[in-house]
Amino acid sequence: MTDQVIYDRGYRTYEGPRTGPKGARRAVYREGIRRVLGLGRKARLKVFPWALISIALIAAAVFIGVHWAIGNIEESLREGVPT
Amino acid sequence: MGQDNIVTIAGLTHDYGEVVALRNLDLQIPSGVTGLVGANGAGKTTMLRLLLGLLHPSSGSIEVMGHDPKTNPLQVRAQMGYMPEGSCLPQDQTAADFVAYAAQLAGIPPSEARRRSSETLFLVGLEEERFRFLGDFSTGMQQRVKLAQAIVHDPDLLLLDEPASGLDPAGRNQMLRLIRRLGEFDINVIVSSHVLTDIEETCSWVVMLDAGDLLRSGPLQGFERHGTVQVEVLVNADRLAERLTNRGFMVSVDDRRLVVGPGDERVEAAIVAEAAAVESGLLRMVRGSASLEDLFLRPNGESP
Repeated sequence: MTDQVIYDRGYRTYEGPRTGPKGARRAVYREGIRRVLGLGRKARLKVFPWALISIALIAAAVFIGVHWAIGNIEESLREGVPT
Repeated sequence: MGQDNIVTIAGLTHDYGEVVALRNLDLQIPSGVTGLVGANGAGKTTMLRLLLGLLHPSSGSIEVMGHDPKTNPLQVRAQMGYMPEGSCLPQDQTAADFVAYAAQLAGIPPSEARRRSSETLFLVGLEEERFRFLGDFSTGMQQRVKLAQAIVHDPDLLLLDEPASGLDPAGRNQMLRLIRRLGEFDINVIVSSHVLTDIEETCSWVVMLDAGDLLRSGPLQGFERHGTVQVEVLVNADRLAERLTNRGFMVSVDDRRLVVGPGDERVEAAIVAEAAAVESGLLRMVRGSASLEDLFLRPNGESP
């Protein structure tokens, strides 16, 4: 025996603020970003965007790493060989 | 619900080049649940698109809730919900996300949109399935999602284009029950359908279109409640049709087959008497479906 009750909440009207065309544009923008990144979508739809982002980030990380390493070598050389 | 007209149409004509979709219509639609009936191609979807401001009339005027959809399309659409007939849902999105997105497009702030999305999907009976992808939904469930996205922003007027189309009998009954419920929540609804029984079960007012012409606009009564009678005769079908028309019935003829409406209590006696008078040779007489397509069947067997 249970005393749980299922309530029919019916339909609630909305009297709150409405954002108008500006809010609609923001929604399209947000949804566009989510769609491009595959957020809220099936796993296979996330693979391509995140693979692209990973490739771009890895390339950037390698570039920064190389730049940092070369900067260190140059600095050591400058410190080791006085002008 | 007020008694004012929610839609006022005067001298409305719309054509697609040489094809006239609606011809010189004058009508008012009161608040409540209204049925827009006609065979395929009668102009129902064109009418709905004109009300939404997606099409502009070739001539004449339309007023929806006091606004002209041509000059104030955003204002009109902000107050309306629209459930299109065809498949239009993104297959790779969840029902909850999609309905929340529809609410935000209609100007509901994001947090409230998510809350209303859940509530509306609950109302249409999809509370358990709301986090499933739309591509995995059955036709009936997709129809419910289409209905949910149309009502999520609390519209004053809801336009439903063939909401029961493609549904099995059980799904159709559930959809009609939902539409009736919306009427109980004081939402004004215009439902287009070519199946008279759908309209009969849900609407208090009916607008009938036939090949772009207005047949009638008024409270639901008459042959919508009685269906039609299908008759097959041996000869003289045209003469029989003429005599029945003179007696106030609506008749369509397809070779030796006639469809006669309204199928009220006097129709059988009238058919028997007139068939005897013109010596048609009555072969068969059965109560038929109440589909307008039957009633307006053209002599070549094609619906108008």
